[in-house]
Amino acid sequence: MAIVVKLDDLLYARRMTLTDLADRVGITLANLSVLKTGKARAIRFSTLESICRELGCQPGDLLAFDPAVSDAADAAE
Amino acid sequence: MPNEQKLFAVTRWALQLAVISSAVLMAGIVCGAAYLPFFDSADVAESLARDPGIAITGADITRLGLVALSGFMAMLICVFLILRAVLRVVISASLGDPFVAKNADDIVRIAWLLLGVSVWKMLIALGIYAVSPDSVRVYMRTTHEHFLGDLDFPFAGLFGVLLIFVLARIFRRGTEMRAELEATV
Repeated sequence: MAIVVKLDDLLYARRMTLTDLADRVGITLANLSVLKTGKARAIRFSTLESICRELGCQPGDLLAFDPAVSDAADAAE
Repeated sequence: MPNEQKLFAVTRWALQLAVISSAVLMAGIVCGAAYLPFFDSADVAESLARDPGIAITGADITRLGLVALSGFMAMLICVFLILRAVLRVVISASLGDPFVAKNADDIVRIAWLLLGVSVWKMLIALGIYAVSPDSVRVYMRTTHEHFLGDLDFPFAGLFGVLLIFVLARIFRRGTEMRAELEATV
């Protein structure tokens, strides 16, 4: 998928761990981990809202479109 | 136990019983086939020959036995496989996880096997009629049943098969939707 989740970068910039974020937004660590590792196929607006609120960012800061990633994934399949 | 679980438990019990019954019947057919060479078909043919207008030889009766036994055996194997597939679907449903790819595959298998049973039933009737038309007349006279009814095109069966194929498609779509939901954060 060409959508890249930049949660790792955002957490690093804020010196925050995934566990901290999970506690703050009320989403399980397992689900956040799925999002962070790019295994998620969809994200709810409510999840996006919670993460943006806690990290003080815009949805565009969290997600990016990179066609090269999609090509690489297709080649791997 | 909630009503839903009771329903699953009863269905599982009934299906397990049906699977065992069909296995016993298959064993019975194997025994019947083993007995066929020792069966005094000439004696039966002689008693039938007393009826005017009926011409069945002992060899005819042996051939009929072979056609019927092999035909019913094939049908029973289909029924056995159908019952096992239904049992697997019911077990996964009772565990609360029916929307899996395996169930969709099982439902497709059930549809093909049901189609096989419908077609095979016609073939057995046709085979028996081809081997000995007189035996069919004797059967119809003694049982007052319309034997060749089995040769009618099985519209109801095929309609059921089509519905099961549609159901399989629904299950497959349900499986895809569930996978998508699981990957939604």
